[in-house]
Amino acid sequence: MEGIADYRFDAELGAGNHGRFFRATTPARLDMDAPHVAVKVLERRATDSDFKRVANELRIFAAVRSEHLVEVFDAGYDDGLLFYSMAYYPDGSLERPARPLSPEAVAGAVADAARGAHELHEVGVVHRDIKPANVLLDGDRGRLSDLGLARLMSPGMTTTGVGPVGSLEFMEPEVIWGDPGCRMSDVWSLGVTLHHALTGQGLYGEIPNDSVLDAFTHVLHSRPEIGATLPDGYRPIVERCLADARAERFATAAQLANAIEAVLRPEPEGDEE
Amino acid sequence: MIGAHVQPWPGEGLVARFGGTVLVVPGPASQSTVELLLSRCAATSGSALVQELARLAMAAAPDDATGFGVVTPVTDGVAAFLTGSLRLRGTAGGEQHDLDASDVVTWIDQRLANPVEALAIGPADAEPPEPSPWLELREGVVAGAGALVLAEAPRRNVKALQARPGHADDAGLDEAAGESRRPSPGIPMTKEVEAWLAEHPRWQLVFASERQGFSSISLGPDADLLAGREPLPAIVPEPGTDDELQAEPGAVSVKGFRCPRDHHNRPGANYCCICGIRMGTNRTLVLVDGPRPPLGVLVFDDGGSVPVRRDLVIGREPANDPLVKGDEAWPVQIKDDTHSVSRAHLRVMLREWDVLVVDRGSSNGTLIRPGDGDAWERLSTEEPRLIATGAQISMGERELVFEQLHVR
Repeated sequence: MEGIADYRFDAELGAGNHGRFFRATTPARLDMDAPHVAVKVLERRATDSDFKRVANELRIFAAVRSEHLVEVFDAGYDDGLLFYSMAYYPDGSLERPARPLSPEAVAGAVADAARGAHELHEVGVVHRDIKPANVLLDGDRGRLSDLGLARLMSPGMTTTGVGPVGSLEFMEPEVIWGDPGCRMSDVWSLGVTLHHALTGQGLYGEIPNDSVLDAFTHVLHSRPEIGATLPDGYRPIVERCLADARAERFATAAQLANAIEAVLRPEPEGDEE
Repeated sequence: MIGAHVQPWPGEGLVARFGGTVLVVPGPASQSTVELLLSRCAATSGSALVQELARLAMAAAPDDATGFGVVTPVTDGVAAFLTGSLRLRGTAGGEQHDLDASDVVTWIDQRLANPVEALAIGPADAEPPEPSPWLELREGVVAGAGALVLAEAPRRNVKALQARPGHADDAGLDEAAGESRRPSPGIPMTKEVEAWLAEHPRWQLVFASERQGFSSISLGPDADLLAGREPLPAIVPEPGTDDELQAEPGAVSVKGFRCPRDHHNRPGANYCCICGIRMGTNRTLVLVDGPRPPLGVLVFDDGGSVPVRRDLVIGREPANDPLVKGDEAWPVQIKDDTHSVSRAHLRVMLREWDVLVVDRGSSNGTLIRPGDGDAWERLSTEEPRLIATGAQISMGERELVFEQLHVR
């Protein structure tokens, strides 16, 4: 793919769930100094009403504009394909960082993403697709990216995780089984993201790799298990994110961010947990 | 005060500007009418002009049916006067306006509050063009089908003129002040336009340099958009209210038993289909009506999954299936470049607590394997077949599995 609308692509940054991700030269129309922007092109052909739903969701995301969320510029529709552009973050994501990260930097980026999720929750939006690939790195900060937009493409139908099994691992079981999701769903995904970014491991052990269907069945019917290599301070945090009952998890993503930051920057005196 | 910047909208007709007053006569009009309009607009403005226009419109000859449009400054805003098939679209006083004189019997006479951000006055049945970075009408009479009245000369990042607040189904998109469109959809490439472009080479440059056929909206901070939005509810930590999975709006009501945590279950279930707890207390003996929870998940071989909560039609292009059109089933579109999957291939039906599947008259048929050790069988196009967890279904090159929670 060479471009879409008036964006000319000069590098492919990745192909993930539901779409492909490119670096593009900034078109004059955007009136910006930065030489590059990142453009996501959704894979599935979209209708006009798909575009309206996706664009409305993105407008809310953009309207929040915060240091914890990626900065998005425009959303468009060209020849049946949906795209949106955002700032280009050369440092990569938690899944593919451009340089090695310390555990502290990883945890700090997840805390930032949790604050971003909280800001979305405060305006009534559930992210639904939080995973390491969607936590982008901006210097030593994290920014949450990429709402789970594909579910908007057909009304009523929730296609969770078209693509590699990878994203299913990060999804709250309730959402996989058809629940529309709530604050706690994103808290779950943030917990799995923290675990994965710190240990390099998923929660479902050895996932069969001979068939996608078998892999799915495995994840759907296994219980998550926290890896032994997770640094001690984070274990209770991840455990609380993954509590079976939603009511036993962190009540808000902001509380999760506070808990992570308390591990990163412990108070000299005994602070409340 | 009227916006400082006026541009003609290319096409047949004439556009005039006298100070703050802009006149548009898009179609053929009798010579006497044009003369009268031009002289009145040049001589006077404001409410005095509007009164004269009303007299003119009343006396207009039948062959002047295409009408005319005028905007002229009045106290705290502008007055818009539209007859025939004239239409005004744009933003003034912080509001979107769409005034269409072809909707009324006589004329439209309306005050628009300051500030005037952008107005397009022209034929009702044509889309206004994108503002040009070069065109400007400061005073006098030129050819044109309409006029754009802008608060300031357009920059590279062009703002919206296409807003049509009358189309409420656009879910707020058209209210986006930042909506921008390329010029191509606005100007049909007719002989007249071609001829006009030949005389106005700069417009050709616009056509050539802009990629056509896409639309986009710009995104950014917007406090107004967030103002009315409610935060997500906090979950109250109270046992026994874990009802989120069932709180599907519009869910079908079915008879069943409640588990100790109050989840609605099929009669005869040993374990709750939601939380997995053992059914077996007194509460489970009372048959009650309740909303049907999702009955399982369809998992596709590409990693996609779809909860089963309503009847579904699965296929390459299921949107045109009569069941989908009649809202009796939701479409599930799956990708298949080999076209081995039909447009509408498989129907999934929910009956009380059961999930059934039936071939939707596909070209290549559907195979089903009810359980792991079973043989593959051909699925009927006539008789829906009950499926249980673990059932595998093969449609052309694609495969899916039906999964249920807590029943294995």
